[in-house]
This record gives sequence, C-alpha cells and structure tokens, in this order.
Amino acid sequence: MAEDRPSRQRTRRGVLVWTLLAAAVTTAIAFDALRDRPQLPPPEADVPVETPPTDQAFALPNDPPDLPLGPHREEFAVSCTICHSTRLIANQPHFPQKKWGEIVHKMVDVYGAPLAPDDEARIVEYLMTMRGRPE
Amino acid sequence: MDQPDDRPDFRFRLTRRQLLRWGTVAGIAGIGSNGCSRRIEQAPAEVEPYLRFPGKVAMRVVNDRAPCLETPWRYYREDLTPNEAFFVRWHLQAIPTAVDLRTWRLRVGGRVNKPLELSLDDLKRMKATSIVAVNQCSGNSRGYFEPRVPGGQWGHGAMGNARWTGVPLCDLLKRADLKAKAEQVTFDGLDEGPLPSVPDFIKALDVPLALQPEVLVAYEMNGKPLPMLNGFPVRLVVPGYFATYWIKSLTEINVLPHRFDGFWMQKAYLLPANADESPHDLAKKVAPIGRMVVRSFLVRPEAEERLPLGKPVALDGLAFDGGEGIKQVQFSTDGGSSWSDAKLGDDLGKFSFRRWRAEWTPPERGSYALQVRAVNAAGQTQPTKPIWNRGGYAQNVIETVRVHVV
Repeated sequence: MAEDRPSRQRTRRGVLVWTLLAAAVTTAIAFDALRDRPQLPPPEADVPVETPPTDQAFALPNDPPDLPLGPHREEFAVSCTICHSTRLIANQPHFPQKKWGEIVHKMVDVYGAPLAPDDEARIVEYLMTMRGRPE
Repeated sequence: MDQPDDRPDFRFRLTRRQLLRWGTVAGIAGIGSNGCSRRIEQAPAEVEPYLRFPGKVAMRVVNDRAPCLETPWRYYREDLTPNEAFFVRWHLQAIPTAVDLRTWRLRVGGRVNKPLELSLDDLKRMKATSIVAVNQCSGNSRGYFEPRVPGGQWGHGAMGNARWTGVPLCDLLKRADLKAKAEQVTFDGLDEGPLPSVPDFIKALDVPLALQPEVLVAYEMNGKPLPMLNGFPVRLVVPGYFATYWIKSLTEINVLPHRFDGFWMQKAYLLPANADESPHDLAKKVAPIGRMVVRSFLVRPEAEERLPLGKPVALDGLAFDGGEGIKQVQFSTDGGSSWSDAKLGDDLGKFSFRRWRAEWTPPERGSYALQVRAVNAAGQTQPTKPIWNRGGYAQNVIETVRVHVV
C-alpha cells in the first residue's frame, strides 16, 4: 500500500494537468470565438432584384421582434401599432421613465393616439419593461 | 449616470454565426450552472433583421411600418448608389404599394393662373434635366448621438447618391404661371396617416428656392423608374437639402401667398437656430432644417478590419456637402494629430458624392484610428467633437474608424 502512494499521486497530478490543459484550450477557443471580426456581406447579395409591377399592390415584409413579457403588453402592442411597428421601439435606446412619459404623451398630443391618461401610464410601464432604465 | 451600453453596432452587428459562437461559449461557460437554457434570452435586444422589401436587396430594418431601411455599407464603394440598395424612409403608413398610371396625376394649384393636372406621359413630354445629387436623411447617424435621442436609430446608411432625371420644378411653376405675392410652395405625396389626427406629411419651400433650376420633379433614378419605396412615380429632388424636403410619390404642388403652418414644417425637423444645444439647455429659438453640412466617410477599409503589415493599404471614401462642392479631403492615421491630402475622384457635380482615395503603408503592428475630413468651396469643414440636438439631426463630426495592423 505504501509503495502505491507516489504512483497514485502521480496519476492524480496527471489528471489535474490534463484538466487544466483542457480548460486552457477551451478558454482559448472561447476567447477566439469572442473576438470581433469583419463580417462578410449578407449572403443574399447576389440574388437579383425584381422590379414589381406598379399597378398591383405588393405586400411589405414584416418581422416583428419578440416582446418581453410584462404588465400591459397587449395594450402596448395594440395601441402603438396603429401608427408604427413594434420594431421601431425595440430599436430605441433605453430611456428613463420620465423620457418614455414624454414620448408617449407626444403620441397623444401631436398624433392623436387614442389613449386615456390611465392608458398612457400603463403603456409607459410596459415600455420601462421593454426599453427602460433608471433615471 | 450608469447607462447600459446599448449603442447599436450598425456595421458589425451580430450575425447568426456569431450568435452560434456566443452560444458555444455560453455552453462551455455554463457547464454545471444550467447556463445553456438561459442564453437565448440574454441575446442582445438590438439584433435587427435584414429584410428584403419589394425591389430591394436585404437591408437593415430600422422600422417595418412605415418602412425605414438602411443601405448596407458596401454599396458606398460606388459613386452612384444602386436603386435596389438606396435607403428608404417613410413617415406614415399607409404608404403607396401600387400606382395606376392611367389615373395618377400630378396637380399644381393654389396661387397660380393656370392650374395643371399632368399624367406621367405629360411630364415625360416636357424638357428633361438630369442631375447627380446626394439624398441624405436629416437623422442619418442618429444612432450614434450621445446622449441618445429617440427616433429612427440610423447608422450612417441613411444616405445615397443618384442621377435624378425629370422636369425642373421652375418649368412647371412657369407653366402654371405664379400669381403675385406667392411666398411658399407645398408638396404632398400619396402617403397618408393611419388616423385623421395624424398630420399629413407636407413640406414647404420658399418660392425663390422652388425656382432654382436644380430642383426637379424626378421620374427617373439612375436611368430607371423610381422604386416604389423611393417614391414612384415621381419625387421632388432638392439638391443640397436634407431628404425631408424630397417628397416621395409627389402628387400635389400648392402655391401659397403666406408661410405654410403645417406640423412637419412648424413642429418637426427643427434645428437650434444658433449652433448647438444640450439636453439641459435646449435652444429657445429653432428653425426648419435646410441645407446639408459638410461630411466625409471612409468606406474602405471598414471598422475593425485587419490589415497586413508592410503592404500599402488603399483607402477610399466619399465626401459631400450642401451644394458648394468639395474642394479638399484629408485623412489621418493617428487619430487626427497629423493630416495628409487625399486624391479627389471624378467630379459628378457639386451636389454629388465626391470620391477620395489615398494610399497608406502601416509602419508597425497595432491599432490605428483612421479619420477623414473634408472642406467645401466655401471653406466650411467638419467639427472634431460630435454635435448634439434633441432631434438627432445634421451630424457631421469627423468620423473615426479603428483598424488593426497584424
């Protein structure tokens, strides 16, 4: 038994070394993957563009973003998309509550969005879930 | 101010492949911590899709409805921006998705002696003029404003240069015979608001500007009919002025004896009357945005590109202004400490993109901050610090592009 100890220690050291080595390689691969590289142009560049006929209405594509779950999500989606898509909002910076309040109020005041004052507060609450930040 | 770093990285946004890479890393990092399943939710919110709209290549979607689409950066390698890649910016839905030319008419009315109603064929029978001119959205580069401002979060791709062909507006106005005391001319297109309360998108020009020979009612763009999304069948072309005045799918021209008081002239597209403003000190006096300011860009190499050591690198890009014409372009490879002259390319007219080229051999490995600045014929140039205004308009700071020599 006593003679076994050094060889077991050696085995353990071997396992440790190999584990560390594997971890190092994995980390190296991971860091390499994270490095920013210039991107190739989107792959569809070579697909020819067809000119649509002018007297037949064409359909516009639409790719709505996922809306995070949160209170008043449905009200937000219904009221705001009367005039614009949710993509416009998904692309906005994070704003504090006061700023979102001003923006929503502008929609009512200037563009006549059909919202009662209570609705405004609810939509601001959802916007804070979606694109909010502290003051 | 601990603001989350949510600045969109327009030119190098995450691709599907990069997301997969992130996923792999997350998988490795998350072993034993149940990290894999959470990774999808943590993907950045601003991974905008590229979509193909009718008549267009895949473009970055700033907004689906009304469509706002950004030109992919590689198309600025050409002096004339191809129609199918030309940026798109509509304000109101519904936008026209069909126009029947048998019934479509352009009307010229208001303070004129002979109101006109013209078909596209009528317009094409009039004497045509062509001009190459830059069309740039007032909010181009808004996404880089700091502090951030609400609105369409454009990168630098809300601009394009095209050869526009059509009838000079002054010829139409002469034919309609302006009455005395005409002060402004308004322009309305086929787009309409979704609610009666949404102000119709109507813009106005002062009569003297409307009578300038370069202002066109254009029915061709780069020798082809305008794409529907760029204003088929005719759009107003106001060389030197921001694109907000270039009314698309133009259908009504109205001459007024007074200043137009519509929303899109009085309440929107306003700039501080004197220089800049700041979020805590908003300008009291504002005025409608007008002529474009001097800008220049590096097109190649692109941001974060890796360049080989010891080999000459071809730099090229574009410059433009509000119609004085570009006289000089300089570039810097040391973040603006020293500047060298670039060679100017073909002169397509004073309202056009002006190509510039230069050669640079990187002396050693490392990261470099490449900059470019232009001077126009009036001696105007670009600021070293970004400008700021609440609308996110008229940015023209000297841009910096980082590249890495390896």
